[in-house]
Amino acid sequence: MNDTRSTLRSYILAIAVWIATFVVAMKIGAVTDASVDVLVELRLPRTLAASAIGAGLAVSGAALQALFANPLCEPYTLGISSGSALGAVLGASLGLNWMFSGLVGTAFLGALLFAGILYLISLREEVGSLTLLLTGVMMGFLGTSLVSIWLALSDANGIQAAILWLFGDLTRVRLDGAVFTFFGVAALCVFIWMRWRDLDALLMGEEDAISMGVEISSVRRRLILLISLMIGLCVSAGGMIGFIGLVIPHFVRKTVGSLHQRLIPLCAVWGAVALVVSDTLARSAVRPYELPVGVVTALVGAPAFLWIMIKRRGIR
Amino acid sequence: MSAFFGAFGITFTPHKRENPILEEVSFELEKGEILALIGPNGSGKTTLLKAISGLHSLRGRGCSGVVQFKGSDFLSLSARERAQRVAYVGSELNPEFPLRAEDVVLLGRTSQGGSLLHRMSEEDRQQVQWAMERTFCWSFRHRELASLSGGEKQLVALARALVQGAKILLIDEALSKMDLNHQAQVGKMLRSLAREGWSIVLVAHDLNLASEWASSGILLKNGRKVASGLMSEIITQEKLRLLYPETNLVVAPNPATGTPKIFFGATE
Amino acid sequence: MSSRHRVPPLLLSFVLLVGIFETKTVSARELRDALGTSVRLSDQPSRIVTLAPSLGELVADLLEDDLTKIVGVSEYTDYPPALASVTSIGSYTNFSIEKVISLHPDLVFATTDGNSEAQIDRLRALGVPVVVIKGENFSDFQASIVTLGLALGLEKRGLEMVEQFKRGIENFSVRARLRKPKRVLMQLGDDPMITVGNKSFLNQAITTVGAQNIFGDLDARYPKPSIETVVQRDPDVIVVVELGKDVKVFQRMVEKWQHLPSLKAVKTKQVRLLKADALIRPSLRMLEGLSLLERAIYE
Repeated sequence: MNDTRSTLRSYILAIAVWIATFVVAMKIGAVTDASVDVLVELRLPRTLAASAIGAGLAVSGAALQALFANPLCEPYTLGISSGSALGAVLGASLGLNWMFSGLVGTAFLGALLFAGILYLISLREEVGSLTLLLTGVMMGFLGTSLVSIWLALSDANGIQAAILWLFGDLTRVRLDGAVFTFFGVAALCVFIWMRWRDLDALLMGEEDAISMGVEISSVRRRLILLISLMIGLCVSAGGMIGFIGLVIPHFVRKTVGSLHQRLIPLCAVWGAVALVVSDTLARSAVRPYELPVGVVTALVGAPAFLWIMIKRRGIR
Repeated sequence: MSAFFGAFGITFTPHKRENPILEEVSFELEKGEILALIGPNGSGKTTLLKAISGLHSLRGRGCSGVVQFKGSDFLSLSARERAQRVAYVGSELNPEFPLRAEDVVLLGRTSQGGSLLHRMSEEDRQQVQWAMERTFCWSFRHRELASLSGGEKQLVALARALVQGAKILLIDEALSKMDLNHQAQVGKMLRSLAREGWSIVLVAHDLNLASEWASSGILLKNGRKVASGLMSEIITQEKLRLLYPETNLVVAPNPATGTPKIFFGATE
Repeated sequence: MSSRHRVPPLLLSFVLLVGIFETKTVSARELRDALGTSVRLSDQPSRIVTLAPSLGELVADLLEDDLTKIVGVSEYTDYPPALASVTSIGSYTNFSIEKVISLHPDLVFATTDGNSEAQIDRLRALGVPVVVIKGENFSDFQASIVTLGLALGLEKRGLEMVEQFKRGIENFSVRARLRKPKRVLMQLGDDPMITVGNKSFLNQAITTVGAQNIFGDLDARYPKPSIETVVQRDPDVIVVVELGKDVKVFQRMVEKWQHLPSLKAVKTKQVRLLKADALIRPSLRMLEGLSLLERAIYE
């Protein structure tokens, strides 16, 4: 009974904070008395997209950490985001600008390609979680190297845009793209949330999970599919934004524990809050310029992560 | 096959190994029986338990064997069905994430399913309480797993196995870190579970613990079964010499209970 | 005749002095380039490599008919058309040193506006005479023409070209003085939006035609401020400068502004697309470009 009430309280608090940060973000900007079109064209899409992407990355991070029973996992561990980046830069250099309202279609396809490879590998019975994890990490390195090669060979104009996107760029997404991302992320969050029992069981490690009755291979496959779609969507909308997927789950676990029935929704909301705040900082810290939002998440996320690591030492 | 639970011809030779870890090991378990699995380090005890519970797949090259539960094939069942029949308890519970003891025990109910919105059904709650009281960890159910001692964690792991609904327990050195008091109490608890119809396979690091609680046992050496039968039949000087030829061991009955006990012989 | 002498003779002498001062000859054929480096040159350089399209144009202008002396040009050097068939040594930001060496040049021209200092140093270390000119504003530009003229042994032609340029600029200044300055956003790219700061000569182009660059306060060449800042500064005119071959990209930029109807420039339909390859290259064609710019802003 107490449990339910405190759960409700944490949800209400989280949602209230999100609404508050959303409103503040809409009010902050270079234009002091913003007209409707400025709000709707410029601020609303990015704040909405930031909410969606923050939620999506945090939930993917939590799910990945559970899937591999490894607290250091995050959306970029499996290399899916490198695939995204590769898709985006290759698409740009081949002139394939498949954009839907600011969402980079080639990035999404790149993510799906790498995810597909991982999925096929995970179909094999003898492939354990550790093997899968390492494969993902290697693919990540491969993708990143290919992106670096491309950057080295391309001309000044192409590089500028690519580099900004690679550090997270919420300026490109338009309103319908932001709405699409929002609903897409929401749906995927629900689908991932529905697997909370399996995610809980996975926390103790693969072997424990099997002995408790989890059908590991099918659960893994389904989760990888959902997580890849989520990451693909988030990266195609906002580029590579780091640390949210790694740090938010840890913080939320500290307050409500590791069980995913509560963890997933709260990660979603707090992830949204974190990215909305980061984006607001990114665009008001050095006016008239804008920092790439990934720089802000890194500057805030890295010390936060270090703090978490130091705290863990205490427990161990 | 009349046995409640039986393993037949379990052979396990994973990739690139010359010698099999297990070779044609068979045994049967009756309802209410406590079977001890005894052997030196590396004799294949853990591998055997993992193989028969389905944690190690017997489908690869160099692996074979049949496991039957109440007469029908066990390994072809889904992980969930297997978990509802057999519970494996390992020796370590090392959580990477913050979890409370009662949450961990609740995880044992995974194979029983549940609704999306309610984490715990009434039955779940009752089972968790029953199991934790029985394994003497109910009093610290709210504590974080990471803050518990090794022995306390093992009690929690045991409770988790009990809530699975399985009536067969495979206990793999899962009592090693408990203090003397708990070991005795857990031993008594296992005996009473057996009387209630549970069947238990016990791998105990301490041979004397195993001999105290188990009614029968099998001796494993280098992956082969070298002896099986009642405890009094296999805990004999000559049988032990097969397992531990370099060590001078003496067998004598426990003055209080009469069960055979093992002592180190006099050193010359 | 009288219009000729409209140019204050003092200014002309100043230019001459600056020109001579900057290219002070230390010995028979030694030239001091715009950065102060002393470069040894042959009397009549006959194998010339230019490391930027604008340099190609200027050198071609100076040489008039003798274009065969140009043996290497950077990518995209397409004016005058004869230069399009000359061997390319790569892009101006990252050219191939080996390619330059293989052409055995006796004179290489580089600019601070884009060429890599490290690469220039390597060329010099390999014994190649490299004359560097500065390209940040109009006076740099005029000085560079003088330097180029001296390097090629065509001082007189160089000074003539400077004269021509100055006269052209003066025409714009005269008209500009009679106008009320309009506030302009000059857009060179999108995603991110690229504009012009006070370290680019394009900024000077804007002020020459009598307008005001809304980002003229930024000490950068091609800054990328946020769109909201543009809304805050509310320019009278938005000029999207079309570069390169893909027109659609720039048309899209023009369309994007329509989504912000509260902008003055959008309300008064003052968002213009300007095709001006001529404008962005520091060459004599800039005068053409300036007149196109003037028309885009004030008509």
